[in-house]
Amino acid sequence: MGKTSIKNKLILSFLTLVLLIILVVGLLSHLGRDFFLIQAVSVLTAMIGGAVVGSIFSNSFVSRIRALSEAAGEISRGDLSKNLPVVSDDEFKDLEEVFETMVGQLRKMIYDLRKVAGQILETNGKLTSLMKDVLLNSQRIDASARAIAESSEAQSLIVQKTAVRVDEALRGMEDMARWTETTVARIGEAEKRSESGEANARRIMNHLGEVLDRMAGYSGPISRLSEKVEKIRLVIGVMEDIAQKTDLLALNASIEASRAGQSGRGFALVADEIRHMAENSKSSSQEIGAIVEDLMEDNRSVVEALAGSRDGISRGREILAGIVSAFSGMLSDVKEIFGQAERIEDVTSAQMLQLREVMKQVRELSRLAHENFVSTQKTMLAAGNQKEEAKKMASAVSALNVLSEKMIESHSRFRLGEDA
Amino acid sequence: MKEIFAFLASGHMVGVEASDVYRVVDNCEITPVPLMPPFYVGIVYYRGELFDVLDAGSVLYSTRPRGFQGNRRIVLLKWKGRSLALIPDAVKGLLQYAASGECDETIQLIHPESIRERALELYG
Repeated sequence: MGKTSIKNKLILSFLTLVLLIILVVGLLSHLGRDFFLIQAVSVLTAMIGGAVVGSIFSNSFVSRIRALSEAAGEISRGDLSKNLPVVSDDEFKDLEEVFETMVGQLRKMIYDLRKVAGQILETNGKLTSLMKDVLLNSQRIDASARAIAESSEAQSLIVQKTAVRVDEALRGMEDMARWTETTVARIGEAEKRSESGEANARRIMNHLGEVLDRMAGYSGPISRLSEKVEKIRLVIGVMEDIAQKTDLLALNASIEASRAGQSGRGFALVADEIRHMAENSKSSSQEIGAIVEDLMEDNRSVVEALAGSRDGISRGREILAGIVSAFSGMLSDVKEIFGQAERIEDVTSAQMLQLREVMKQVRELSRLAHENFVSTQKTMLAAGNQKEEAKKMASAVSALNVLSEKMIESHSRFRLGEDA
Repeated sequence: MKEIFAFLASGHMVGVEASDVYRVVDNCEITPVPLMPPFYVGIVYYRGELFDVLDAGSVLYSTRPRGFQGNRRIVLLKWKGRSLALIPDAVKGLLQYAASGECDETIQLIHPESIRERALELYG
C-alpha cells in the first residue's frame, strides 16, 4: 500500500466536502429551491461536513499523538518495553517509526550501558581486588624497600668497615713486606755466618784432632813413667821389708845383748845403732813411699786427666762433628729458608698488589653500596608514594564502584522488554 | 840401770824386763785353739817350742781383742822355765830405767808371771 500523506488526506477531504456541497447545491437547485435556502443548506452542509471531517481528522491525530505522549511518558518512567502500533502510512508513521527507532536505540543504548555498567562493576571488583593486591604489594615493596634500605645501610657500613680492615691489612702487609725484606737480609747474613761458623768448626775439629794426636803421644811416656814408679814402689816395699826385718833383728840383738849383760854392751850399742839405721831407713823408705805414692797419685791423676781429656776431646770431637753437621744442616736449612723467605717476599708483594686491587674494588663496592643505599632510599620513598597513590586509587576505584552501582541501580529502573 | 822391753797395750805403755824377753818375731803363723776365751789368740811354734799367744790389751786391761793381723809383731817371753807370747798394739823397744825400781810414770812395769796368773784368773 502506498504512502498517503496528511496533506493528501486533507485535500481529499476538502474535495469530498466541496463535492458534497456541490451535490447538495445541485440537488437543491434541481429541486428548485430558493437560492438562499440553497445557500444556507450548502453552508450548513459544509459546516457539518467540515465538522465531521475535522473531527475525524482531529481524533485520528489526537489519538496517535496521545499514544506517542503515553509512550514518551512510559519511556520517561523507564519503561522501554512497549512498541507503538502503526495505524496508517502517513507522516505520523514516520514520526512513530522515528520514535520507535529512537526508543530502540535508547533501549539498545541503555542495554549497552547496563552491560557496560555491569562490566565496569565487574572490572571494578577485579580492579578493587587488584588494587588490594597492589596495595598489599606496595606495602610489601615498602617493607622490602625498608629492609633493603637497612640492609643497604648495613652493607654500606660493612663495606666501609671492610675497607678500613682491608686498609689496615694492606698496611700490615706493607709492614710484613718490609719485615720480610729485613728477614731476607738477615737470613742472608745468617747464611754467611753459618758458612763462617761451619768453616771455623771444621778448623777447630782439625785442631782438636791434632791436640788429640799430641795427647796420645804424651800418654806413652806417662804410662812408662807410671810403670817405672810402680817398680820403684816395689823396690821401696822390699826396702821397707828389709828395714823392718833389720829393725826386728836389731831389736832381738839388743835383747840378746841385754841378756848377755856387760859383755854384750858393745854389741848392744851396735844393735841399737843398726836399729836406728833400720828405723831411719824405714822412715826414709816410708817417706820415699809417700813421695812415690804422691807421684803415683799425680801420675794417676795425669793419666786419668789425659784419659778424661782424651775422652773429652773425643766427645768434643764428636760434638764438633755434630756441630759441623748441624752447621751444614743449618746452612742448608738457612739456604732453604732464604729461598722460602724470598718466595714469601714475592708472594707478599703479589698479595700486596692483589690487596691493593681488592682495596680498589672495595672502594668501588663502597661507592656502589652508597649509591645502592641512595637508590634504595628513593625506592622506599617511591614505594611510599606508590602506596599512598594506590590508596588513593583504591578510594577512586571504590568511588567508581559506588557510581557503577548507582548506574546499575539507575538502569534497573528501565524495562527493556524481553528482546533486550 | 836395768833395761825393760816396752810395748803398747790398749793405750797403756807396758814394760817387762828385757831378760824375760826371748824373741820378737813377726809373720808367724798362729794356730787358733777352739773353746778358748777371747784373749787367747792361739799357739805359735818357734824353733821347736810352743808358745801360748795372748792379746796383751785383753789380758791386761780386759778390753775387747783387736784381732790378730799377720804383720803384727809377737813378743815371746821366757822366764823360769815358763813361756808365753804377747801380741801388743805396738813395740817400743828397749828402755833404760833406774835399778832402784823407780820407773817412768807412764810405763807400767809388769812381770810375765803376773800376766800368766792374770790369764789363768780370766780363764777361771
